[in-house]
Amino acid sequence: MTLMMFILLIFILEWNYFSVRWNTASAYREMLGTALFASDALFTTPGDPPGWERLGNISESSVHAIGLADSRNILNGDKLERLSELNQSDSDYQLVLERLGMPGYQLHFTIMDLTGESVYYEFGRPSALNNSVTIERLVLINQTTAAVAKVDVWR
Amino acid sequence: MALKSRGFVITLDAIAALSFMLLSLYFIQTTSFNPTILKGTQLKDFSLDTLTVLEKSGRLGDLITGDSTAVREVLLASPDPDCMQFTLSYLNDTQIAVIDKPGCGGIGNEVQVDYGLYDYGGQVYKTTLKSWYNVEVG
Repeated sequence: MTLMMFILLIFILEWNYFSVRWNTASAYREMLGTALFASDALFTTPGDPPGWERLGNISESSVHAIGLADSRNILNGDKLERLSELNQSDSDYQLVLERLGMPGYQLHFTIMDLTGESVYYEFGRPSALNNSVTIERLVLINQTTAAVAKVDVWR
Repeated sequence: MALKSRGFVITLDAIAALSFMLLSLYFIQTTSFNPTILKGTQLKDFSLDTLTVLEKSGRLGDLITGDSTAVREVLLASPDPDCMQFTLSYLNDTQIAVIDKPGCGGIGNEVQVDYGLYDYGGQVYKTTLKSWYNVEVG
């Protein structure tokens, strides 16, 4: 009887360990996937409509997708500036998350020089808990300046 | 006459159950949860970014004229676990320059290869970027 109880206890503990690992890995996979899709949308597409940055009022009905590129990896300064304006209010920030297909997640990205010493641009809400998934992309600013975009996604 | 010694009776079904449980425990302990497909996509994205940036920033022009510094800067900016080897060649595959990201050494096992074409002064060149994860770092 004691042996059976001992075996059962080991099995329950192992099962719990398995569940924790599985849930942690699932959450990580989801965040990594979200970060990849968001970075693709931001740095390789112009958004929809392509000239969304020129719209007077940005709302759910007027903008369907947010993108910062004129063409793949070439970022548009006007789009970056407009995104900065949307960073000022929480409702606009939430709208950006929704239009990037990541409601329920938080986003923070920085665009910096190749050595990582100077930050050219920053958007979003950084995580205070070091619980984010980070991916990096290479982009061009003003057609000539190569830069690294570091994208953090967290919950 | 009463028997004083005590012991266990292990039946065949108990052995089968115990084996099944031990196998389950082994499976639980050794299962890997690393999202390899997404990691591969991440590497692919960064490789394509690198080729695009090299082509569109004019850095390949510098390489053709003999200065590889600008290309090396871009390769060095990749995340630490990423290893890369960039090759510039003529369309007949004659190599002009091969540039490795420092600290990688050799070619890894699971290599992704991306190709591109680059027009410089009326001459078309072929660009090849091999990328893989440095297992020691990643």
